[in-house]
Amino acid sequence: MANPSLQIGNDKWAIKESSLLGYTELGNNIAPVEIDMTRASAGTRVNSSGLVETVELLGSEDVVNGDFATDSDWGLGTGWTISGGSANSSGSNEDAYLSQSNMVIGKTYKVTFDVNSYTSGALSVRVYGESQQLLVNSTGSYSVLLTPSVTTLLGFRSAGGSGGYVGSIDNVSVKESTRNDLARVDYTGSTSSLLAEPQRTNTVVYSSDFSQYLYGGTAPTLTTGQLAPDGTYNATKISGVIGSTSLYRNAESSTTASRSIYARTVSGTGTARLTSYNSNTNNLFTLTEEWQRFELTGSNSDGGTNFYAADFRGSQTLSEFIIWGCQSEEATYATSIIPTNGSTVTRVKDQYSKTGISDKIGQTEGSIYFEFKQNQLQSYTQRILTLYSDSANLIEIQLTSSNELVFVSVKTGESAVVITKSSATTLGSITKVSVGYKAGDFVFYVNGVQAGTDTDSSKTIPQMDNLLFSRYNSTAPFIGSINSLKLYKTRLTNTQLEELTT
Amino acid sequence: MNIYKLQYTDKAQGDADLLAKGTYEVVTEEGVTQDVYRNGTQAIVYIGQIVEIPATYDPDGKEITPPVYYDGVFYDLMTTEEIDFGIHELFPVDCVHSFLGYEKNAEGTDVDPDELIIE
Repeated sequence: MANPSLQIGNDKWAIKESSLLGYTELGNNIAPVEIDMTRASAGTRVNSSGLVETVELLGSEDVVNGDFATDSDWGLGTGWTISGGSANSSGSNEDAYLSQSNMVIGKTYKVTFDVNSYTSGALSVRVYGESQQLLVNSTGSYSVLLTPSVTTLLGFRSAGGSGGYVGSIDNVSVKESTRNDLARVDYTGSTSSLLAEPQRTNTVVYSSDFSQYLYGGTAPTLTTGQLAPDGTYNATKISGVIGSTSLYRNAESSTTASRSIYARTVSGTGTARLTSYNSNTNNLFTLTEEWQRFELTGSNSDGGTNFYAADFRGSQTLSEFIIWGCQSEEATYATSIIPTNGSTVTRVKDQYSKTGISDKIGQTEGSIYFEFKQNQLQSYTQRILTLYSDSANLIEIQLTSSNELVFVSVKTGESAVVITKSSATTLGSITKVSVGYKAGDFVFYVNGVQAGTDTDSSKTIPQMDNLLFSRYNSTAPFIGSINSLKLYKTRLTNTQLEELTT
Repeated sequence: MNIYKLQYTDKAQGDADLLAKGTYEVVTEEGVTQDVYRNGTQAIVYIGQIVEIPATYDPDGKEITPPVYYDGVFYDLMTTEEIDFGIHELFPVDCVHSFLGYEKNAEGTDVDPDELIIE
């Protein structure tokens, strides 16, 4: 079989700011082809280690002597010293800084450090002279984002009143952080896939801080510091009384929203009612010792717009379990977690495109392989892939609102090629499609089955320069995840096209 | 990136003003009507009414006392363009909505992700 002229994915992913790396295989070498990516906000995914994370690119190390190996490179305010491989604050020095100039105004930095001993007071982390971003008063490893707007100095300020901070820090790291315009490769399940999600808002104002929730009945016991799906210790064990306790946020969801939450048992297996009022019939979930994300879709007949992280008042077996990551979206299915902490939060939509790749698209003959998954049909006909030069010269693979996959080829002055496969996809499952095209010789396969052919010799191939996962004018976007895309500049045989999709 | 906090009398007025300023376009294709962002718009978020004094509820979700709302309805707009919204633009200090990766109260022109607001 011929080598693809362009590939995306196929379990080989690489991203950088504003682009996803497609590639062309040249023997044993790979030539990159950058696919443009935009998303004007951060976004989360499940990484290859199974942890939920905000997608982030980190630059090189910007701090000097972050391990405090020598008594140098840091500005030492009153009471700060460097010795024994750490920076130490003796107290009686409230407001004194340990500082270093290592940032550029306007850029965002991820600062990590360890507090390896703590006696009293607090450590305030900030850009020198700017507002506090993190206050630490115990040992542990910490992380904070800083964006200097006035000075370039990283500052650790002795704080906490009555003399300030008594303790030490070590292993300081400062790296530039980029979070917008980054493609998200998600490893949920057994395969990796590229997320193409729409704009969504999490209307639950505190997604994981359950101290901000109201309770009804017997007060629950909240034990923070539990290991969470993102690898931090920000999950909470909730212990309640079956038949009495509820834990909820007022008026932060709707009766038609998609609600979700991560949960696991402390030990063993059992059931719990999560995300909505106890008398609803679709909120009883089976928890195990593994983290799972539970999604409640469909209408909630009781409980109105309250979001119940847990409602023990109905029948269930668990009186305690661990929860994290509440989310309510006004939609029929849940998308990746959007963390909140004091406001509703919106993740902006993902968009991918590539222009000027006529050399990668077969212009007189060619083949396409596309592997994708989607969780919900849309009200419109999605263009899951468009190759085009203009509105009258294009090839599209469409997915209709009635679950038909349609191959369309349009060329100015000619009749269009339209081949349709009905009942084409299964929600939540991978669908594989392939297309072969040549003048008077078009074929379309879905999941190993030939959907149809068109052998009208008057139909030829349109000029195509650009690639989108939407219509040529950016409407009708594909919503789902992309596992693999391959473009070939030859028309593969029907046997090869069938094998690709089997 | 520019983030605008906007207030209108009602949703009809807000939608009309955002449409008139070219932030989105109403497109009908194949019988389906969609709002399509235009001219640098990254996101329009209709927040609706904002509660000034929260309602009180019982644990069954039944309202005991109703909420008190600020006047009008509210939008957040994220765009690459600078737009003069006149009296509709607000400069709140404790925002009820934000964009993922941006500081909670980020608003105004040339906003960077996680921009700090100097208190």
